[in-house]
Amino acid sequence: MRMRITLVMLLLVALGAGAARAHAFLDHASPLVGSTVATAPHEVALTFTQNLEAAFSSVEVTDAKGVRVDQGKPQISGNTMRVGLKAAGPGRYQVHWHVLSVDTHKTEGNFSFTVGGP
Amino acid sequence: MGDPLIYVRAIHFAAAITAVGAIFFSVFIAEPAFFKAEAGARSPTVLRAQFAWLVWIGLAVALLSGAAWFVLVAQSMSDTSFADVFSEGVLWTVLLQTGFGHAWLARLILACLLAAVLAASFQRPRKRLLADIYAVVLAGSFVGTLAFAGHAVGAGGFEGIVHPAADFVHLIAAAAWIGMLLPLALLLAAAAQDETSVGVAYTATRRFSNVGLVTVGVLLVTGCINALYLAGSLPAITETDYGRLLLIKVALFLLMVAIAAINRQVWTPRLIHVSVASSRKALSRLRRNAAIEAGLGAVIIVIVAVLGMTPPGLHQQPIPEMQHYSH
Repeated sequence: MRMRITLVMLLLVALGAGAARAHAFLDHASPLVGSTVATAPHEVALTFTQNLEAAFSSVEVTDAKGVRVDQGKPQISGNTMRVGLKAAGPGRYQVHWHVLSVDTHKTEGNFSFTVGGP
Repeated sequence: MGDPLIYVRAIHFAAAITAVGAIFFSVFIAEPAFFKAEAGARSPTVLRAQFAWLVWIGLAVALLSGAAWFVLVAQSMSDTSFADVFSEGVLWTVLLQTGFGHAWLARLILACLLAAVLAASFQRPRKRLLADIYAVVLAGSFVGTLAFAGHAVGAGGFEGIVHPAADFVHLIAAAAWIGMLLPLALLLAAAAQDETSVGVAYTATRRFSNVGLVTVGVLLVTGCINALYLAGSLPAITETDYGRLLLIKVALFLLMVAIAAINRQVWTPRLIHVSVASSRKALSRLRRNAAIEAGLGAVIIVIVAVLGMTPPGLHQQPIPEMQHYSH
């Protein structure tokens, strides 16, 4: 019995278990968190550590003056959320996301990226 | 600790486990034991009625607390006031457009089917076997699908299949063991008042012990899989609230296993193999131990209710900057 449990556990460790998160946290974003990009992106794409509930997940992108530059409803599929951006000039942009993961837990966070060279 | 959802979850777990445990106990333990009972023994009739009460009350409380759970989650999901949840169509959105809502819809249907099967089997007690199979499958699914309202869901790939599956089986095994303790205590109490029922008590306790052995094995394996996904590192266990609660839960589980082992090795054999006095003493010890185990099981249920609201150990660790969670 104990042998079998040890085997099962070893198998699971070997298969890379443990990488999971039960709350949806931001895994990575495009543009990258805190990055500076040369030209204004057409959209912001966020990838989370867990699948999202589309009905209760949203994202806002604002420019340095606090004006919303995202447009349209965010497209959510699995653990990614993407939202289109209006044509925007150089400057610093804030991304604020608020998501509900499928295990009913809410998370939120924000980051910025900058358009145009230093 | 002020969140009403903790209490609602604890009540729902307890009610579902009581109903499901009573069904499992009737089918796997009590009826086979009654089959061997002497003709004219009073206790089977009395006990059948008591188990039926446990099932119906458990199901009713599970439905009410399940509804309350649903409303509280809908309110939390939508960030609206309690009144707005009912007026803004939020409940429908949650029910039809979220994984949690789908799980709840499925569980409501399972509960209704289960009630229908049970009601029908009371009408026609002769066609027991088929009704028993339906009842066991539906009851197991009703408690197992709680997995889809918790931390087990949400990942993709291999974990997206294995973790909910392990949790599904874990819940059924837990419901079987904890939920059958109360019916067992009732059966032992009835046997203490009726000399002719000691044989029934012996058969039932033996069978319960065998089923218990299987559930302990299943709980260990599936519990390890769950723990690996949710708290799979040493600091995640020793340095987070989630991990520490999990350790308390495991300690209580081991205490239950120890009591079950004493019952199996010491008291059950003494029910019939020695003298009448010794059989009386064994009966009262078994009864007391079943009650203690049921109490420990209740504490475990409360811990589980809190664990589901606590961020699992693994992701408290690398809290990425600028990210926050609310239960």
